Amino acid sequence: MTETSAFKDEQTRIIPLEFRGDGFEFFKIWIVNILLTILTLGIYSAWAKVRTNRYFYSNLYLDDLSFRYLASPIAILVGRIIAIVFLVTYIVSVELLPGPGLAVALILTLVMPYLIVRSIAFNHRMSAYRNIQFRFHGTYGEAVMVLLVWPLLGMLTLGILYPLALLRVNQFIVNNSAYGTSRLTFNATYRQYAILVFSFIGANGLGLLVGWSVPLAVVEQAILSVVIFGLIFVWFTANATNLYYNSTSLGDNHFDADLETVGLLKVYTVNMVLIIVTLGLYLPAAKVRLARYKAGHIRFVAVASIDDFVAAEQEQVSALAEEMGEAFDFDIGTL
Amino acid sequence: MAVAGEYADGQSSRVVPATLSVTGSGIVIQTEAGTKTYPADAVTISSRLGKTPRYLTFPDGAQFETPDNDGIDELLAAQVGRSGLLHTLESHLPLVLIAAIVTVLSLAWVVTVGIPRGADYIAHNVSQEVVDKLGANSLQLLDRTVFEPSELPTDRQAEIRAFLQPIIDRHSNVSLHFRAGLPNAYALPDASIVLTDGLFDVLKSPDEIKAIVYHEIGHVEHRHLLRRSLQGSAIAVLLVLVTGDLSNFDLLVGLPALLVDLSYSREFELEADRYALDALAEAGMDVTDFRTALVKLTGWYDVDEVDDSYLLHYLSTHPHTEERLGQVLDDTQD
Repeated sequence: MTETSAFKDEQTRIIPLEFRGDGFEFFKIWIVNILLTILTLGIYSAWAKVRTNRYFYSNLYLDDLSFRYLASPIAILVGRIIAIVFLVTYIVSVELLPGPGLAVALILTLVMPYLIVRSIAFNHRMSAYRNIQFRFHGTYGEAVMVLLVWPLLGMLTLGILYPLALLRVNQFIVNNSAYGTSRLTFNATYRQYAILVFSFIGANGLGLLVGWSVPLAVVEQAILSVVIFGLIFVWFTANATNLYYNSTSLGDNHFDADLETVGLLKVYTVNMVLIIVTLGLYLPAAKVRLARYKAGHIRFVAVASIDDFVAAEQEQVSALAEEMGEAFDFDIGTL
Repeated sequence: MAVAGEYADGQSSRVVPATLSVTGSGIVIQTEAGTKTYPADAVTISSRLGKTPRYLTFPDGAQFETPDNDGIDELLAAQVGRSGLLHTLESHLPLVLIAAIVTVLSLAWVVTVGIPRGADYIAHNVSQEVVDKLGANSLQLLDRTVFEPSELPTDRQAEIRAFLQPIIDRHSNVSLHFRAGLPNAYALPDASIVLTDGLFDVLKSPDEIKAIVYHEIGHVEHRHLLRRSLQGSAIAVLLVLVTGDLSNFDLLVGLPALLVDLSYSREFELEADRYALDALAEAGMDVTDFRTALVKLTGWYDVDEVDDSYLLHYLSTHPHTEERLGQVLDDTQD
C-alpha cells in the first residue's frame, strides 16, 4: 500500500470535535484536587493542574482518538516555586522601593513577551494528538510587535488600527503553531476583524445609551447593564471564536466553527445561575458544559489523509516560563 | 487475555488498531503488520483519570491508547502499582462526599478565621518602619489624583484643629488634613486622617467630630489597610489554588473574592467603631455622640440616593447603620 493511493481514495471528510467529559465525574476530580491542595498547603496544586488539563484534553476526541496533555507535575511544581519567588521579589521591590519599582515594571514589560512565547511553546509541546506533539515557533521579536507595538498603535489611532492588532496577534499564534512538522495557517483579513471589532464597539456604545436613557433604581440599573453587556459579550465571543477557527488551516485541511449567540448565551446563563445557587460547587460541571458546547460546534474538514503528519524532533522546553507567565498573570486569549 | 486499542509509532500521525498482551518475554503489541515486544518494565503508563483513555508509552516513542482502563489495571497490575490511588479517591462517592464536606468546612474556616487571624498577626508584628514605607506618599498621590484643596475658611480650620490636636498628638504617627468633598473621613496608609469639608456641614458639635476622628484612628491603630491588603492577597492566592489556574479567573471567580473582601471591610468598620467607643469612654465623653454622628451622616446620604435594600448590604464596604448602632446601644446599656 503506497501513501499516494491511500490519498486518492480519501474523500473530503467532515470530522466533528467531540467532548466526552461528564460534569459529575469532573466534580469528583475537582473536589479531591481542592482537598489535597489544602491538605498539602498548595503543593498538590501542580498535580491538580495536570489532572484538570488531562481531563479536558483526553475527553476531547477527533475521529475517535483523544488529545493528550503530557506535562509532568514535578516540572510544573518547580516552575511554580521559582515563579512565586520572582513574584514575591517583584511585589516587595514595587511596594518598598517606589523609584526602582518603575524600572522593574519596565523590565517586566520587556520580559513579558518572552514569557508568553515560552509559555505557548511549553503548552504546545505538552499537547499531543495521535502521538504527535504540537510545536510553537514564535520569536521574541514578533511577540514584542504583536503584544506591545500593535496594541499601542491601536490605542494611538483611537481604535482604527485595533482590528489589525487583533489580527496580528492571532496570525502570530496560529502561523507559528505546528502539528508535528506541519505549520498551521491563519487567513483572516483586516476587513473581517474590522467588522467584528467595530460592531462590538458600536453595540457597547448603544448599550451605554440605552442604559442611561432608562430611568431606574440602582439595583434594576445594575441588572439591566449586566443583561445588555452580557449579551454583547456573548455575541462577540461566539463570533470571534468562529472567525478564529474558520480562518485556521492545516495544510489543505481546515477548521469550521458555528457557535451561536443564543446557544452560548444559554450555556453561560445556566452555568451562572447554577454556580450561584450551589455557592460555586457547580463550577467544574459548568466548565464541562462549556467545553461540550464549544467542541460540538467545531469541526475539522479533512481533505487529505490525516495519517501523514510527521513528528518534529525532540527539544527541551521548561515549565518555568509558563509558570512565570501564569504567576504574573500574563495570558493572551486566543479566543 | 488481551486489551484492544490503537497503536501510533510516534514518527507519523498514522494510527493502527492493535491488541496488547503480556507474555513471558514482555509486553506484546500485535497489529496487522506484525508484532512488537517491549520489556515489561520499560513501559510508562498514564495514571487512571475518570473515563479518559489510558496511554502506554514505550522507549522507542510509540504509544498505545485504549479506553479499556480495567483491562490495563488487570493485565499490568505490577507496572500500574499504586498510581490508581487518586482514581480510587476520585471515584468513590462516600469518599468524595467526605472530601466535599471537609473542603467546604476548611475553606470556610480559612476565609472566616484563618486568613483574618494570620493577617492580624503579621500586621501587628511588622515593624512601624515597614508600615511607614508601605504607606509613604499615599496622601501626595491622592492629592495629585482625586483630592481637591479644602475650601474651609482658615479660621474655621484652626478652630477644628484646636480641639482635635490633643487627640491626634496622642498617636505619634497620625496627622490631620482637610480636603474638599462630600461628607466623609478617611484613614490613609501613611496614617494621614483626612476630613472633608462636607463633614463639617453635617456635624457641628466638636464631640461628634471627635467621635469620627477616633473611628479613623481605630483604622490606623488596628492597621486595617495593611490587614486588608494582606487578606485580599491571601484570598486571591486561595482562589488560584481552588480553581486551578489564573486563566479561568473570570467574573464568576472574581465575584466571591469581591464579596469576601467587602465582608472583611465591614468587619474592620465594626472594629474601628469599637475602638472609637472605647476611646470615647476612656476620655470620659458621652458615647451617644458617636451614635448621633453616625445617624446624621447616614441621614445625609439617605436623603440623596442610597437604596438600602438587603441585596446591597453584601455589596457595601460599611455595615448597616442599624448594625453599627446596635454596638453603640450595647455600650450605653453597660
